[in-house]
Amino acid sequence: MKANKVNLVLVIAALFIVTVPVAYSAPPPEQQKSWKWEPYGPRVDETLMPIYLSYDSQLLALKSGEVDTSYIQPARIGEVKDDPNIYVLTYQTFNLQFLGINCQQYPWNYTAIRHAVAHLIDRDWIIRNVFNGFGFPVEAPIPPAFGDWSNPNVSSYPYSKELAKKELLDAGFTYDNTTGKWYDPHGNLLGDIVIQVPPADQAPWLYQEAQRIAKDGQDIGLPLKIEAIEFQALVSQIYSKTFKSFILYLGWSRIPTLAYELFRTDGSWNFWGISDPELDAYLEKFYFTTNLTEAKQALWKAQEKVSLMLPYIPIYMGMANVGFRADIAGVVLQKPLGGQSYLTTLDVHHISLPFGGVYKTPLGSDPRTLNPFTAISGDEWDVMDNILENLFIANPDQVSSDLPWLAKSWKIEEATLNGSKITKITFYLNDNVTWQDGVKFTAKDVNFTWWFIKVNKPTQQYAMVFENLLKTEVPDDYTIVAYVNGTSWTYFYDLNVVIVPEHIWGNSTLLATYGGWDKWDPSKVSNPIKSNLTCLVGTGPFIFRDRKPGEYISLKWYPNYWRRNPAKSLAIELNLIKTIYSGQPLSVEVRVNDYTGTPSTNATVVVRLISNSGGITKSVVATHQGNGIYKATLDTSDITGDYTVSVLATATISEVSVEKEVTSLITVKPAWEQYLPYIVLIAIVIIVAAVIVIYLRRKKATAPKSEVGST
Amino acid sequence: MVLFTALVLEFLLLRVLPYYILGIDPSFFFMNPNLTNEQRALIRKTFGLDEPLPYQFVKYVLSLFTGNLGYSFYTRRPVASELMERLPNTLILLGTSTILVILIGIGVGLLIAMKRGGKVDTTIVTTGVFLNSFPAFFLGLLFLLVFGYYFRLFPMAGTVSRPPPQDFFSYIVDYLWHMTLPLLTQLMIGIGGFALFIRSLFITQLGEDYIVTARAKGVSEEKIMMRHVLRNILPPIITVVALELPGIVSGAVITETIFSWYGVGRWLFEASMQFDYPVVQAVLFISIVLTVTSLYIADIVIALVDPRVRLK
Repeated sequence: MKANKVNLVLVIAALFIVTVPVAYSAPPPEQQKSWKWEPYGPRVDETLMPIYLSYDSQLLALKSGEVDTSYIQPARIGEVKDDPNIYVLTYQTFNLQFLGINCQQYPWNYTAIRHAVAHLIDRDWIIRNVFNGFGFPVEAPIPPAFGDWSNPNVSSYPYSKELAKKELLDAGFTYDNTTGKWYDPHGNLLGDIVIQVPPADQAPWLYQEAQRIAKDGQDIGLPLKIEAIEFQALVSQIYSKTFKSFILYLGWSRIPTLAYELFRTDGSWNFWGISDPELDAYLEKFYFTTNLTEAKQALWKAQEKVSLMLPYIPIYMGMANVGFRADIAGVVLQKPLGGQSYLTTLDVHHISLPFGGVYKTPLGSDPRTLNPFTAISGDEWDVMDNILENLFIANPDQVSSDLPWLAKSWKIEEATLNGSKITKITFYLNDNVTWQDGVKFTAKDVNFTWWFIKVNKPTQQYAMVFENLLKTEVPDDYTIVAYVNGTSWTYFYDLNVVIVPEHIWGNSTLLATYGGWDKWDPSKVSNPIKSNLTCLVGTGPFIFRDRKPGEYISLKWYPNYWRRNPAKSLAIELNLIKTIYSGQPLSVEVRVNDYTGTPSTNATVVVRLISNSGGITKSVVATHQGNGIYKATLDTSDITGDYTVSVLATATISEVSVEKEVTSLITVKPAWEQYLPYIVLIAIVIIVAAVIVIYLRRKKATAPKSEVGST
Repeated sequence: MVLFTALVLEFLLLRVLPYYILGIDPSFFFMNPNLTNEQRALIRKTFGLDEPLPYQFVKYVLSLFTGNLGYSFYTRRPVASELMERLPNTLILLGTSTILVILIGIGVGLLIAMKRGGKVDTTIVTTGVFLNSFPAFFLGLLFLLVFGYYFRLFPMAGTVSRPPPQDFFSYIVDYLWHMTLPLLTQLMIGIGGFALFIRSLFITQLGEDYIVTARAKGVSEEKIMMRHVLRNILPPIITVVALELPGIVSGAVITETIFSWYGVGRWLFEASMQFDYPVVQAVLFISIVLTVTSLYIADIVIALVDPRVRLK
């Protein structure tokens, strides 16, 4: 099969389709359409996560306004389409549906069979009829959703029964027109080609797809059969590599490191049993380089090989439809092809309330545990993603690049240690981060987290980088260096786990009391430092506040969040004259509002007079006059010069303490200067009087004398 | 003996059949496929999955009788703790609905038996059959849509508001408000069938000779129903009630799911799908014990009620 230029048109068309506003609902509000993401937040005061076990009740909750957002199943789009109170954002996910093939089993072991079946997959029909149009057809082994990781020039297998037949005939298969049967190149009657899917009552859409593929195969005489097998049994067969072929989903992460395990010989995810030295070489190069450009080039080459070998046939990438109430803005989608960014957590807000309020986002199940090392479900991570943070996140403007987060920068180098090639990764951390219980975040927390994972090997987050982690160095509180055996750019990503606090997770007595690191749920244990918190503390924008099992989880915003939005504070209006004379009372009037615009009537307002040298000359607490207005009077006796008036307001808002300071310059003039006009006036009067007097006297002196009489 | 047999069957169905016959390994659910074989073996050992089956069974039975219901594979928390979080909600909902179904069912059954053949009888029987034919999920969704969404009279989900009221009295009112729709659903699907059952019991008895004699003696119809017929139909009613009791614990999966009612039913369903043996075994064990106990108690009560039946 010739390698064809593929799908550039398809990709462009798909890009166009995905980025054009999808007319499945009311359009998003202008504030959402024009929203430019901010790396600060959170804007809301609370995130409430009510639990809805039934999707029907969840959707009704969205429609009635009980929640602000919900996933919309494709088949239910029509229910929100005409609702002016809801808009739907549609974007691609990283869930890939594919036909996985056991290349060790007859007759799937024939490449021609795999190619032929690839020609029998009508992606457009599947997406249109099975998924109501919500899907993005994919042929590249690494789908376009991965940006420049995806090779658009891989072999293509357009839907065509004729091409399917041609594949087989070209490969030496023969077709008996009389019996309507195929024979393999060895002359044997071609055995059943089986596609395994869960039963129709478990996953009707998969069954429907398999039926269509099987029918198309049977139309050209191929013995394509469907085998319905219970999902758990199918997964067991997959892990034991005794399956035949199956249609299921694969959840990729944004960086396609999984490709290394999927396609290399002895890869832990190489269920298909392929082995190709050239492919292995490309994958080794892809994985074990420290240069991202080289990695991408190698992966492109690997994709070309995989698209010829076809151990798995990609079918489509899932599309998510997420509904939002019309009052919601600040949802950040990742470019180029969508997906909600982490920054949505920070930016989402009610349009009518730019700061404050509650954002209600439902959970479809009750999180079993909020232990980041044993959590499995998406709902559990939906909660913890608000609390715990990583060293860097996906850049919303380009999903394949990275945005510094807890780490402000990094350096990746190749080095040698004890004669072996190693990867040296240095992270430089931000120094203004604090854990939610007040303890400073440092490199020791990162160090602790990595070694914790290496030693305990938790089922979540464990990766090859920890297997190969040789040593770490912490030269100062905000720098950490990892030395990892071998060279691989992937180490950088694998080290990017959620960071946990050493002062909690390193407390072995505490953990032992509650059953050990893998049994305890930190959200159910009181924090040893701040008793009003739990042990589930992070550096993230939300603090775990409350949970009622089976009902809801409540998170409140973290007022000392290191990326707190500067505008989410108190608003202070200062009424102050700029110049005053020593001895005159300095009257300061301050209006304090919270970030919702509500007058703050419980604030503590301290007014200080600060000299140029920085010393506080005077300080007084203002008294509340009502409606958020505070007044203070400062005595300016015995002082003169330029001063700074500082107004520090501290208020409790939604149980959190917030403070804001504003300053203004004033000049205190010497007291006598206030009389200067009078002095000047008097001086003028005196001068004028003196002038007049002098003038009059001169005039008198120069007046002619009268003559004395003659007889 | 019954209990022991049930335990053996439960163990065979839950542990032997899936793994040894169907090839489904439950440890798959909590194992990262990237773990080494040593790591997997360690985890399986932690849950006792590496031991021989008879040994697993003995350990299991012994632990049951010490109140140790084991640890959930999924959450790794004690099953007993998880059960106690959910059990009160299920007991309140299902207990209330069961009692109301029985009381209302007996009352309605009595009424339509007395007015059999008339319009009231026809109407109630038709309505009962109609309601009984509705699946629970349909009724539940209908109530949710009408009373929760269109009329906004009741909440969509949960046992309490999110967040709940702090005041005790308000909390109780809020809880009852949330329980209204799921309770109504359970009542609607239960009353019809039970009323028809009671009616048929009454009608069966009304053909007996002692009823003819009583009427011949001039006893009023109400007294015949309440004093004579009701007493005679008590044994089957008691048996049916006894069989309903274990259901109070195991919950109503569909109702709990639709209304997001935090109970045992939904938990049992999820545990079954995840092959979370300890949870399924614990709930089944409790159901079995309740069934055996309630039937035993039913036998005693029937013996007390019906002098024709005496325990030997």
